[in-house]
Amino acid sequence: MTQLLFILSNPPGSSVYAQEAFDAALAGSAFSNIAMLFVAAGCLQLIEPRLETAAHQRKDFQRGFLALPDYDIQDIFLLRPILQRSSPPNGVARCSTRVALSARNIGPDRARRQRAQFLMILHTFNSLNAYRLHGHRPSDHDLILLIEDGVFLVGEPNLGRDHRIRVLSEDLDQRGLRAPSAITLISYQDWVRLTTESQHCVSWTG
Amino acid sequence: MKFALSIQGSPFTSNSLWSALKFAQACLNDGHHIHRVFFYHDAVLVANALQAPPQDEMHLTAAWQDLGQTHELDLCLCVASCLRRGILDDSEAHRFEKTASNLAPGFNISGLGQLIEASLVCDRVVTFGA
Repeated sequence: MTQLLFILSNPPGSSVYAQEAFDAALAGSAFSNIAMLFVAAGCLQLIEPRLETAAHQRKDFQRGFLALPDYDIQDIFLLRPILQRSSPPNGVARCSTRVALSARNIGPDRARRQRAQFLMILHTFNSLNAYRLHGHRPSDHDLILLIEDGVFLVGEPNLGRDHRIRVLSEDLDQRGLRAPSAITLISYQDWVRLTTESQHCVSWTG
Repeated sequence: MKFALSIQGSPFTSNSLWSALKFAQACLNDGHHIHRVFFYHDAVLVANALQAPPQDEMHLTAAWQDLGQTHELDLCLCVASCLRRGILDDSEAHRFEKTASNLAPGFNISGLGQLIEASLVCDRVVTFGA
């Protein structure tokens, strides 16, 4: 059965995104096997005790977390050093992105070995902040595509030494930037091709 | 290959609708099939028919409508995102007793199940985040 991974990266309260993402995961559980991965500020959704909802002017959707077992959502992961000192909430395990994509039946160690051989993930980053928060997540076998404001990263020294980096040429041009010759520029057509050659596409925002 | 596109960013404060549009065009040019384009979060604002941008500005709504019509794409909006942001088709406007509807032609309002279904039947899901 296909497993769908939901990556939840928004904090509760400041926007409606966290709530809408949670709704999407619950809807998904009606059709498929679901995994949820809380990353970056998204981990703040899991902190107990929660801040008063009234202060955030938002619905207290996090009470819905208690219902996750009823929706048969058991693969819940979080990635964030901020929570390492305190213990994570019940039922929440720590792991890496790579494991969360497949760990269910074969165990993390075997999953890592298998993926190292076969799996390539195309990670897109659409801002400097997205790269700062999540740029360490891609493995050596993956590809990194910088799009939109993520292309400002071409100013970083030594970026050309990272063989995984691709930059969307049109977004670079639109911002009046030029990349060092060591960096591989690609078109939208190339992006589509990379998508078909990868096994998964993960979009990081920040 | 069969693609689903999930678009989440606002037409006004992100590039995601533009990036997704260009990606969709490249996809179709390459002979791939786009099973569904799902608009979520602030991306549903693109389907507001009451927008009247200055003539010398890019009109993303019209661009999506053109692409949708040419290739008979399923341009599907999340109903909960729409209602929260005031994008209503005729039946929702009637149901909530509003004085007008504003869903632009070429788009349709449906539920999150459409995103999940697309994720399950497509070879690739490409997300364009906020």
